[in-house]
Amino acid sequence: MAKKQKIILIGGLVIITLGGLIIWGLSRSSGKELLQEIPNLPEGEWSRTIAVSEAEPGYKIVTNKFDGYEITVPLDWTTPEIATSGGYGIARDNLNLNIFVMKEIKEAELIFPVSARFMELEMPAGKAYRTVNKIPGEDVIQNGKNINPPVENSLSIGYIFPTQEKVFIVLCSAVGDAFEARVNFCEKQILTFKILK
Amino acid sequence: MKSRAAGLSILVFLTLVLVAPVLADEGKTIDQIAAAQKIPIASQVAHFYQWALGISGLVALGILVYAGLLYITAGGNASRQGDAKQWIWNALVGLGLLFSSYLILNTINPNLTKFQNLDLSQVKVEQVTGAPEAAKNLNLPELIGNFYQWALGIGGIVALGIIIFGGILYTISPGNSSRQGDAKTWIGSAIVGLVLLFGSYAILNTVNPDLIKLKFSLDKAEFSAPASSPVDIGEPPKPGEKISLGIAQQIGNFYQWALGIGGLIALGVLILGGILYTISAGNASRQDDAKSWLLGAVMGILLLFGSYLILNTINPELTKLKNLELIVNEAAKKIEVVNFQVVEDIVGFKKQLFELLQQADLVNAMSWLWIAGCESAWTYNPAIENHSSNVPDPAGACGLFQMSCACRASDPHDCGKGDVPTQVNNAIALFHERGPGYWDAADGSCGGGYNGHSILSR
Repeated sequence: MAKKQKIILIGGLVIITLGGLIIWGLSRSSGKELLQEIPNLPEGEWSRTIAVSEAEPGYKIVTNKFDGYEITVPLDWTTPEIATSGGYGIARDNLNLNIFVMKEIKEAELIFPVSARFMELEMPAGKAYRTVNKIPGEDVIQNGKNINPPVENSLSIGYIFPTQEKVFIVLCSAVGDAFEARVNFCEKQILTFKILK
Repeated sequence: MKSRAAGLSILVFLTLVLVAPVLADEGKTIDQIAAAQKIPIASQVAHFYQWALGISGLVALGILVYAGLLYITAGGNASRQGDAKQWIWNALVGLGLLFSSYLILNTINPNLTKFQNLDLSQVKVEQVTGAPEAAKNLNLPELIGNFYQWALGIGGIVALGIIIFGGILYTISPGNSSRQGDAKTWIGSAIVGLVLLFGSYAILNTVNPDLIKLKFSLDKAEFSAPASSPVDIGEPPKPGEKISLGIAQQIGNFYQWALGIGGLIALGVLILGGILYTISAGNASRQDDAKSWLLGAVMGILLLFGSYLILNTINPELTKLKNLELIVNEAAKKIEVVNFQVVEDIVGFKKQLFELLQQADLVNAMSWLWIAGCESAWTYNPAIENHSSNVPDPAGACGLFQMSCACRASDPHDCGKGDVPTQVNNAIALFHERGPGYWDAADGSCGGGYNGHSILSR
């Protein structure tokens, strides 16, 4: 190989490598714009900025670009401007829609009761697992054991969306008046849940 | 003829009833979803086991049908009728053995039929401030615990495999007394092996259940550094906190570890002996070797725990090796924030709370602030009963940290009532009493903590 060709080849490789590194660095730094710093905590634990945009009449799209999801909810639902590293909560009266982001499915044990059973479904966001439970109540010590008796007039419908990198859990919970109707309506919003690539 | 057909129909029905539940797909648990995602070896083995059980059942069923036809078409031929009876008998015995193996394992421990996966995620690496990394990060007991469960499970699977093999051997060898004898020997040895394996488990569980759980917590190994050491970050002791003088606790830990490791070695020898006995069907010499191993291990366990029992009988304190402790004067260290006031401005409120938390628990102040915000959703209002209208906790938990409203005298720190400093003191005291578990659960309901990891440092 001629000297000139060698120089062109090595130069090309160097340019490609440097260019790749620069693009990688830029793409990494762009993620920071989606975070709000919390002093004394690592970057991964900073608050995520939530973007809200208009959807069809009466609805809005809530987007968490950093964690990579979006969901459409009614306009009158309260949607905080930030999410924590662990999750995001949307509220309306005595109804809650929570979105949790976890590293692996085992961590879902923190959210669901041990007795929870999940049915596999195909959702617009991909493969999902659905479960229906009552909300566990306060700790009660019975026969020396700590138990959480379910709260009456409560309902919680949860979906697990597993992906290769992380696990999304979307949970609708309500207590009190019309709890079933509220959760069923909330579940319709889960159908709009999207995982952003 | 009709009665025979009816009998065969019943057998077919019974077999389907036995096989169907094994292959049925019910709602999944979180563990099962996790297993399906990982496609782990354990899950594959479990599937293989369930399939093998089902297929073996079908084979036995096929033999039954074949033998039924043989019997029906035998006419008056006594020899063919005899063959058919032999086939039917063997198939029934085979079926009985197959499903009794499942029932035995399921009765001893249902998890043995579920084949739980080795969960390396349990080996947590946590960043701990102000403590020697080596003492906190390594989670050896959990790793050993997993290994033990695996060894027990694999021993059980080997024995189960031998029982299935023996069952099939017995089923397909009608009239061959030599092969049937071999099959019986295999099955007998496997059952003895199973009994020995799970006998060892039962013995350890009876002596001390913690030996099975392997909870020799490394958290106890607080190799306390002197006050001037660089790892001392100057955090003030909490009210009522006991300051350990160290050495006795370290000896106590070493004793518990030595006892645990000795027990584990003996257990390993027991398992080895059990497996050796199981796979040495008909070989008297190897069975004698296995018996020697088993006897030695049992003697070792008796000696180890005999020493514990003797010390415990003379004086239980001898096994506890309690530390000489200094108790911090509560009055002297009580948080003195008498003018703490909740302001309408939530930013100002957070600022005041954070200052208070820094006084109470400097290391975890930020984490406590996060927990308070998460638990109460910053709807803190001292004017109402539970101080918070936080919707996610409808059971009426109280206060900034949503602790109990009952405030039982038997559990005084699990109390969310009172002024803010009292609530802060209670929350921190509860953390020191119960460890991070209580607040990890709280983190969970608030979004899994920081990616599911404990956010509070001891």
